[in-house]
Amino acid sequence: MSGQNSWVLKGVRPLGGEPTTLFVDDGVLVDAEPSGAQSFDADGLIALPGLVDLHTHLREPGREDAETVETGTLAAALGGFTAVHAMANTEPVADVAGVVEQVWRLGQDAGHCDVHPVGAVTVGLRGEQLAELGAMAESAARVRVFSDDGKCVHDPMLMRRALEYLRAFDGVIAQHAQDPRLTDGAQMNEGVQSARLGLVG
Amino acid sequence: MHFCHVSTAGSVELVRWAKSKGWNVTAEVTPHHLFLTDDLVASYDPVFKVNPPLRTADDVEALRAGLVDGTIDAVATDHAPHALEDKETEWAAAAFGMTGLETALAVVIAALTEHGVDDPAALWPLIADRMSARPAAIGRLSHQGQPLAAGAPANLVLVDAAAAWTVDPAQSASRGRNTPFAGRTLPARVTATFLRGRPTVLDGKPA
Repeated sequence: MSGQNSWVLKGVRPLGGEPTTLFVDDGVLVDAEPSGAQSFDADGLIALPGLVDLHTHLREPGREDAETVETGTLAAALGGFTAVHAMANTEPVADVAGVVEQVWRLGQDAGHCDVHPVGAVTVGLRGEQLAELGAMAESAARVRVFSDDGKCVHDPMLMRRALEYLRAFDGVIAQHAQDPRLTDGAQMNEGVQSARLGLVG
Repeated sequence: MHFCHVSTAGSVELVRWAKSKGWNVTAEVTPHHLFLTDDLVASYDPVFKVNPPLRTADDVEALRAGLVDGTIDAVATDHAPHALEDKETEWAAAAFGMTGLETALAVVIAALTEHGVDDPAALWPLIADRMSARPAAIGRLSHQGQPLAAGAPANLVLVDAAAAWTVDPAQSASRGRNTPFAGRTLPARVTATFLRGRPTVLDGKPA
């Protein structure tokens, strides 16, 4: 195989090491030069594995005036990312298979990087009732990371149930480290600066 | 359990303690918490309003140390673009959040270099681990974050370590203009990004 996704990257320094040549054959790294590969002068450039972001707000669906999957994933590619995890606090919330599949497909269509939707832990991020975790895991988006992000899951029984449920498919919960009672109305870090500036910490 | 954007010296200590107990916990930190402090809030410029908030210089130092020693597993951007009318308001009314995807790598390099990790033999493997391998493992992505070796999918980024650049919000591909690094000169530019061998970025521009 050869062609568009086959490359000879000359002079690269993998992880900052000695200059070498990397060969890509039809999208996979290989040891020898593939036929028909395109050449790229990478003299002295550092080669790293594509960056992976665990926490990205792409705002689509719902707030396409702030960001779309297209613009957010292009920004990601320009920053060196090959995969991002899109957080669930969209409108509607990514708490059912339909929404995570929509975001996943938008990512596929844009093609700038892989988009892995994060599923909400609770319906509507309201912290009252578990979302359809299994359905999101089994959907085309194959969701493995679940989070209510800024809303936090602060009911310990609900968190326990979610953790037990996720074991079935090796899922993980990403919890924003915050207690809503301690941060009610907070505007900044509580400390010398908040006292000086008159802002609630 | 994975802890999002840890931001204080105390929470680094808690994660370190939990890991010492052998518990299955991981943690992430944002680029902005590795670099910026709450002194910036004195400008009342809402571009510096974020949750968790910017902390003190002591916290920044603890976060950098935690990232280097592995207590903090991963850098994650918390890229949070906002429409102008939601962000460019008086402080109390402004939305929380900052953009971060296009500056993350350069900011992490700057933070680690300031922390004394300036030997390339230490810096680049550390960045590959904390910004690719470990976040891929936490996200259960078997096709990402792999070593640059034969047989791996060609997901890779080529970085010009010598190219310093000045952040201009108007130039960002993101619709968000709310970068806290506007006007700052940062080290290192992304020259090319490849997704399974297909270039998504070439010569620093969309491919």
